[in-house]
Amino acid sequence: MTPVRRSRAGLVRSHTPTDGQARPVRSSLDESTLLYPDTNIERGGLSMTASRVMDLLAPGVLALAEISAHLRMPVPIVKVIAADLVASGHVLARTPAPPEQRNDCELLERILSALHEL
Amino acid sequence: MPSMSSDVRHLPTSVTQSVKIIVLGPFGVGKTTLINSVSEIRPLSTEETMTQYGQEVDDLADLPDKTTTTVAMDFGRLTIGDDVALYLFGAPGQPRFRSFVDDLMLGALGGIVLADTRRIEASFDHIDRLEHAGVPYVITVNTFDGAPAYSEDELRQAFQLDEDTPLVVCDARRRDSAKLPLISLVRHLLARSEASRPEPSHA
Repeated sequence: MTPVRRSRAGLVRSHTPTDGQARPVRSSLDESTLLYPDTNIERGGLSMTASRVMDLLAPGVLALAEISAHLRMPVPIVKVIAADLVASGHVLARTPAPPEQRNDCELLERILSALHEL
Repeated sequence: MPSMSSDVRHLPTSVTQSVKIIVLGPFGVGKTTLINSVSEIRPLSTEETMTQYGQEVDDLADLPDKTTTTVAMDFGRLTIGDDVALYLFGAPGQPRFRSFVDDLMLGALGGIVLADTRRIEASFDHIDRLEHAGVPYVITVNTFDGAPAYSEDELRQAFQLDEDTPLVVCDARRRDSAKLPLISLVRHLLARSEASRPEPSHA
């Protein structure tokens, strides 16, 4: 049976049409997962710790490890909060694809030349 | 609660992906020094709390009463162009953090194993674990004042390296030297990547 939908068809939240990982699967989040805030989503109902994460993210993008460091919050806890924020649409998460899935010479060449210039 | 945002350096939203490289080696071998030498952000450290029920920690309330071990993990960051963030993670060297480090290796582009010529054998276990995890790596001898210097041949023999595994000597305190193992690792990854490509067809 098709669930009855309210007349919101046609409205697409800004975080929806992305190619990034957006499922709240805990194991898909790691220290280097990048978190992108969607500041258009209402904050109502967020826990205090989740609000602190959103405050920190408001100006831009950070990896999960950086949130842990700046808020002095253990990584496992940041993972749980981030997974919830992904589920609620406040945050988009992008975890690196496994190296074997991206035999990406162009990326490696770019990293190499950036390192040379360091 | 003091605001910490003044010293937070965010990535621009143009960044579309991150990659991670793990720096391994025994305690005190210079992992943090190397990371800080190349990082664009001030040294940061996560607080990792490990519980014996690591995967089952579902909310904050689960944490305080279980057996926990806290380990700090230092890391740094480099932005490549305007769309890639490279993270360098220093894996804690103590054997009791082994399972934590194994998790950290998942998805890593590669590893840098740091060694000190006064205790080369202390790095063997780290090499074995990267081998086991199938993560490509380079061996890096960090030069310490007063530590014996050996020829590359001697070092390669001591580490029992095959000819494909790069060996680098660097001074982790200096950026122009600390970047050498990173360059060597990325070259190594490129060589592997090219070697695994299918032969061009000559139809």
